[in-house]
Amino acid sequence: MSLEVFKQGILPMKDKLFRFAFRLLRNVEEAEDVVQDAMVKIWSKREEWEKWQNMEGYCMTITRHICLDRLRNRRMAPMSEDNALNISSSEKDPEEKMMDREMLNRIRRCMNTLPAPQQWVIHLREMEGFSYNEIAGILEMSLEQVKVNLFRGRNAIKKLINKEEPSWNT
Amino acid sequence: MEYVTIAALLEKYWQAETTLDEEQVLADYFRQPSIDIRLEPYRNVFGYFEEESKVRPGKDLESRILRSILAADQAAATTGSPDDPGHRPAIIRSLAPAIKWYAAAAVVLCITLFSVYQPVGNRSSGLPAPLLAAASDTYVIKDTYDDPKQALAAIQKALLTVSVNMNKERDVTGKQMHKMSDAWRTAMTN
Repeated sequence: MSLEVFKQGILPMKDKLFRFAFRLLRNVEEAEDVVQDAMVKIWSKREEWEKWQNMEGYCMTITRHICLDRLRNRRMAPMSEDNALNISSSEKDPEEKMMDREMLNRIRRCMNTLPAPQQWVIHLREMEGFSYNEIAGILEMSLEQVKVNLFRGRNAIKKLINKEEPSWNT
Repeated sequence: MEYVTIAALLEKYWQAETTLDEEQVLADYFRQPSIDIRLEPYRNVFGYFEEESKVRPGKDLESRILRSILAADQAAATTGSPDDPGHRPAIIRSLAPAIKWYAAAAVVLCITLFSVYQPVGNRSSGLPAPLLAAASDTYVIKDTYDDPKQALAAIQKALLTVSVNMNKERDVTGKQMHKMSDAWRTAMTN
């Protein structure tokens, strides 16, 4: 019974957990190892599942703790170009595509240079769609800190965009 | 949707005051092929978030997770509590990266050996070695150099190539072992 619950309800979270671990560690292999480790940990606590109010949030928190342990044990390496995503739009000419890709890479670089809490808050909000309260729970910070980090992170990206296109400021 | 509505929503977004639903409206708007040109610069922001949200782990991760939890159960059944860190199963890794290096090393070794031990007949007749072998029952490998110094230099060069590639492989394997050791240490401390 537990295995079925695990397969149906927890295993599908692996993609989210992986992206979050990757955001923290910037290494695909390590991020996968962390997800595997987190899943084993979650499985070992199956007797407690019913008590968990927010299963997804709890899994994200476990993942974060494992990542932080790993970060303590090593100096973080910057993400290589190999790990960067190739992003393109299918409806634009090659020159526009190249400009878009350049801008996307700049946004990515900007995101990667933000202070860690800003990156994490933006990731959980923009990529995973968590509420402010859920983010506060996962990152173990106050609601106010979540909003401040989100505000600062988004505005750093906005500044980058407006710097590129000064005449298009809103 | 008209420019004023989206611009106002965007302003609210920069202030970190939007709800998830409002952010979805923005994401949907910027996903459209044609939008107001004044808002065009912000398309890439939402495009970036969307692309990042599509990142997936390797395809074998799911099976590795399932094998891990089964291994954890077996360990718990034979030795004690699954929560006991000393009984945690080691992380199951994908073999794909290691196999790539082994394959590369094997190819280099084969090419090197083939080039060093080419039969004389191969060069003199212009036929490939396998055809020569088929044509003759006695396929004898002979020296390819008359000058022993040249032969020695060629062998040294070949062995150096093999050595360099084996060292590369050793480094990669060493790093993998080091990572596994770190992972085990982390597991033991948790």
